[in-house]
Amino acid sequence: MFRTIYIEEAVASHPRTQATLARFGQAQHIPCVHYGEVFNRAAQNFRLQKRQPSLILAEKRGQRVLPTPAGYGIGSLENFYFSHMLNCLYDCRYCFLQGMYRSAHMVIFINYEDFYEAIDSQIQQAVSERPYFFSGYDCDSLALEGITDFTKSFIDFFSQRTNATLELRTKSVRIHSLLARTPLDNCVVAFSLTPSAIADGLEVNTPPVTKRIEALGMLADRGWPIGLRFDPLLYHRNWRKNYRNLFKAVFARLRIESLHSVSLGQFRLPQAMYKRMHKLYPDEPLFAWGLAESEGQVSYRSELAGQLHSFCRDELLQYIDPSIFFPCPSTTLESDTAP
Amino acid sequence: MLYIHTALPAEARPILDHYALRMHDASAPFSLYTGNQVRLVVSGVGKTATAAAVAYTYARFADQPGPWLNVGIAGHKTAPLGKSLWVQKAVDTATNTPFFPSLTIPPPCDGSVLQTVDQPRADYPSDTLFDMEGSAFFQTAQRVVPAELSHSVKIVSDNKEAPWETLDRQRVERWISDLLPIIEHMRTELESLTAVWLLQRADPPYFERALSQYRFSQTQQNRLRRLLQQWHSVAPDTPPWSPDHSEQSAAQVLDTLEARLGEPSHLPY
Repeated sequence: MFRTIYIEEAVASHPRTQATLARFGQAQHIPCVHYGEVFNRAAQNFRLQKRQPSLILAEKRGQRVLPTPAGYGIGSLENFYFSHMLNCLYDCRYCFLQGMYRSAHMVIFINYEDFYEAIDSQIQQAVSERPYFFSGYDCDSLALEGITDFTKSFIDFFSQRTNATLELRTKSVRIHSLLARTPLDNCVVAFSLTPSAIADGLEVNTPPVTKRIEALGMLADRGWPIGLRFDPLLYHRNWRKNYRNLFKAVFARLRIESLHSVSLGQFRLPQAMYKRMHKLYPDEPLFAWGLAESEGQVSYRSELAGQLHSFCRDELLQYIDPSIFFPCPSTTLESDTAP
Repeated sequence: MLYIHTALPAEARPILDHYALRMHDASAPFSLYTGNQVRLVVSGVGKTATAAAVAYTYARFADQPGPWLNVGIAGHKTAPLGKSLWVQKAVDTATNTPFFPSLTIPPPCDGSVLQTVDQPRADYPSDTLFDMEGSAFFQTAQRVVPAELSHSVKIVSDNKEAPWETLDRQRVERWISDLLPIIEHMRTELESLTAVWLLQRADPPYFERALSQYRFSQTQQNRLRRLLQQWHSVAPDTPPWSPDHSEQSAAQVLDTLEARLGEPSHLPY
């Protein structure tokens, strides 16, 4: 999978580094002082690099746990995110990571214990009863589980912190480590879902949507709290029919009692990020149709965004209670589309 | 088109013969050769000469950009003479600055770190390659192409047991001849990456024609390029304007194009 592994000299002898290197016996090892020497330098081309990304093993320094942007949450007053990885195994054409980083290499921060400490610090300072910690903003929480043991490590950690909730955000079906253990009430496994008609073209290297639905159904059967993330909503031919069928397929498989939350997200990017992504993929129709810039953000024109949001909200509310529905904030949705 | 840099004429000779390259311009400050698939520049020894030669060649052919490959001999503490090594990292030892090619093509041979030194040395202080050009090659080449398109491949010419003073031209030429299959492999691999890179940089269809018909400001040109790219991605087989279009100004052209682009018939997927 990885032919080249860059290793920060300071973590070369760390047991997690050694364990990772042992998994890739054939890979070439290249030393570096700081991962920034390789990752995100100028003169890199994300699209070219994505053809064969390398792995970087590094130490996360500085702030390890950050507050989420205002309005992003699934019911808590205090929401934080952390990234034990940067970048993703998958190659979703709408993903903001393409515009955020110059590099497509995958960075794994191996100092999990420092993340634990930072999370504990936030829990101690929390004013709300239950702060939420989101993993999977800058990566997929499960996709590299076979390499990182991330969920195993962090679920063990959160099993001792029942006053905080962890969300694992994923498109992966690597769920065997979750199925093998007792579910945690304070760990939400949240799946990102898009209608197959567009996922097949835009979500490169991801498991098919049908397999994701089966995976979330199995986890729900096992008792894990499930999150559904329809994010971003994408305008395309037959979008009404395709979203309706997607919701139907999900709720046909999912035990509704296991559902923790459902959220919608807009296709929305900071303008500079959108420009970088369009430069990488000038031939991509997704970046060509129905978009408008407003207040530094590029998203679907407000009438299109409103149609998408209203339709999906109305369809979803036929299946779920409004109390677990969390539409994401928007700059382009009209106020009358709010539930 | 692959651009190859060598420091020495003896490093260049087998490549010139293999690709049937001819002298491009006898009055150029560097020996510059060209052919159908490859261009080659011989810089002379050292970082300054390397940087100048790469920059000169790029500027000379700025309208035909392509990947860059440094080919040459290098010392190594322990590797056997004649061993080929793909450079994974080059360090300018004078400043301790590292440069990293982006290793997105299949490895053509084993890899190594390269130390670029200012003076030849016979002590081989670390188990890496040693040369006098590599870091400058990457520093310059990565200004003109992405790191995915700038690479270096070396052949070990001297080591602890066989110091560089014993080198002669014939051996260098023989070793570089042995490298030719690797060079050709890299050329073909880099070709497919370059095609994507050139696509990203290309002006969209109808761009030049529109510029010749209307007066666009720089801001309008940027908008025109973006709109035509978008048009080409949703309607690649349809001209952006009807043959008898009657727009009077650049602004009208842009507004018309934007309106047409938003038509429901162009909805993707």
